[in-house]
Amino acid sequence: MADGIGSEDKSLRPPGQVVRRFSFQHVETDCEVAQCFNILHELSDRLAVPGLRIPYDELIAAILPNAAAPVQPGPAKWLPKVQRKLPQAFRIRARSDVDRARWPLVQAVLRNPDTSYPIIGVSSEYWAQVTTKGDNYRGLDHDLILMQSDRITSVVFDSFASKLAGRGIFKARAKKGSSTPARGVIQIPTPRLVTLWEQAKTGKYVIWIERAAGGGTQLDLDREWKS
Amino acid sequence: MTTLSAPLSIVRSDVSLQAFLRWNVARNLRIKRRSPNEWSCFVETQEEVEDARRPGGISRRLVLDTGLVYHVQRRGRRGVVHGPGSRELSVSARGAYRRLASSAESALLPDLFERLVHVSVVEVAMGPLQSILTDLSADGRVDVTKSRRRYRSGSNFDAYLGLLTELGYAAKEEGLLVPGPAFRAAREQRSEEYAAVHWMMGDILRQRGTYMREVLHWNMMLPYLRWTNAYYWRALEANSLPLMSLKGLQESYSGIYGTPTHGHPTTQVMRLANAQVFHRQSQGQYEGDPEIFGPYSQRASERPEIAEALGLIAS
Repeated sequence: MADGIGSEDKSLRPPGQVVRRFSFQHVETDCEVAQCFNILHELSDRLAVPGLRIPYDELIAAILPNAAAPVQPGPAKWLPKVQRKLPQAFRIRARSDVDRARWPLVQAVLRNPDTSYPIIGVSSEYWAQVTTKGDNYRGLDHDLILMQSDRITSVVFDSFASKLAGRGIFKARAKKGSSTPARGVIQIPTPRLVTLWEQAKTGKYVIWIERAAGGGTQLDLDREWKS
Repeated sequence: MTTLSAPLSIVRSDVSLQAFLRWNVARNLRIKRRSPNEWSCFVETQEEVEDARRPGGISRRLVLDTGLVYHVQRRGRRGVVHGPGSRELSVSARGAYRRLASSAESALLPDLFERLVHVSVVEVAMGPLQSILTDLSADGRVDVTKSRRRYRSGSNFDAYLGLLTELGYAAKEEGLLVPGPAFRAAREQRSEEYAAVHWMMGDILRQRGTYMREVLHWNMMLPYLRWTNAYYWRALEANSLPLMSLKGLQESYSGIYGTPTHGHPTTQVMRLANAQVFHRQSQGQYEGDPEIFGPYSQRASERPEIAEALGLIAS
């Protein structure tokens, strides 16, 4: 672990600083690619593990083999392909509705210093929340990185924000004093975010990277969210 | 895990490999090819749903995705099949059944909440929200600072305020909470205050039920949701509203969730009957409500894992 950085609750870190090196989507449909790229690179920096820095192009090949075909975000058909690119000591994990994904698990991943930030899926209703258009604006569900969350307010990173800002249709509020909405850091009431998460077409899901079993992370997380 | 050896002619064909595995591992096993050398493994099970109107009940076939995989490797003129044995299959199928039924639970929620607020313990738990809404209705305003003093620190009071403002039931104005647009609309449609406040509470639960359970830890709702799902999941399997005894409900509950651990089952089921979640018939049996079952059945069937298990789409 580099400089003890990884010993802190991630959700205490200022989101504006964390996202400085985050990437935005290259095209309309690669939210999973961008968010996976971001959590991998952030974890790489924080734990000083260069092997986690998988290039964007390689993630596109793994996640979007047919870039021409729009893909609904969803849990995990591509997880094994990304897993094969990770260093042996790490693995990519996902939980969905079928595996009883619950918000306390998402919060446990967020707080755990040895995991990446969690990616959560949200329904297309999200677009009505952050743009001046309705939820039919894009029709697609979306992926967000959860940066902070308490009972009242959550902060997420939206990899599509720069495109929305560029089109002049962005209405989301930034986290106060940390960043601009166009930089992708968005504040959203937790009740609304949990509902958007629940209403994703594929059901609730969360994706994250952690140290492989033996490092203790998996067991700790399971105990934490089941309690 | 088990390792079996078979002639190449058997492992080359999905049909003959399935027959081979059914003979050697479990006769209710099904496989589906997922790559040239890997097959996903399913278990077929026959579910019997109790219905007092039909002697023998209702039978329904379920296909459970165990999440397990068989791998085949060629070794000379034979194929080596490596994968779960019958015991692992049985354990995984049991887990798959429980996960499936639990997944159906969330499809049940939207039509349930308006009735759940009439379950006494849920109504008590919603007391703080009810107080704020009633004060808004009676006085047209709530002094936030004074109201907060009534609750111990660390309570959910601020979360409730956030919830009410987020849903448009209240708005903050200079330290006061005043009725929001959703509140005014609800009051215009319902002249009677008690009915209006209960309708709003049901609507808040309907819109933000997951948040209240998973973030605010409203666990008192849990046994009631589970009893309800224990009935309606079986109704979904039967594709009708069966007439079930309390014993049948208890068996369904323990099949999905294990033995009930909170509260008294008979009391909880009676409370749900009083809230019109089921209807208690003359012989002490329970029948579901078509207004809950119709939309629930539709929503649950749209979930791929449920549709696949019930055979509504090709697996």
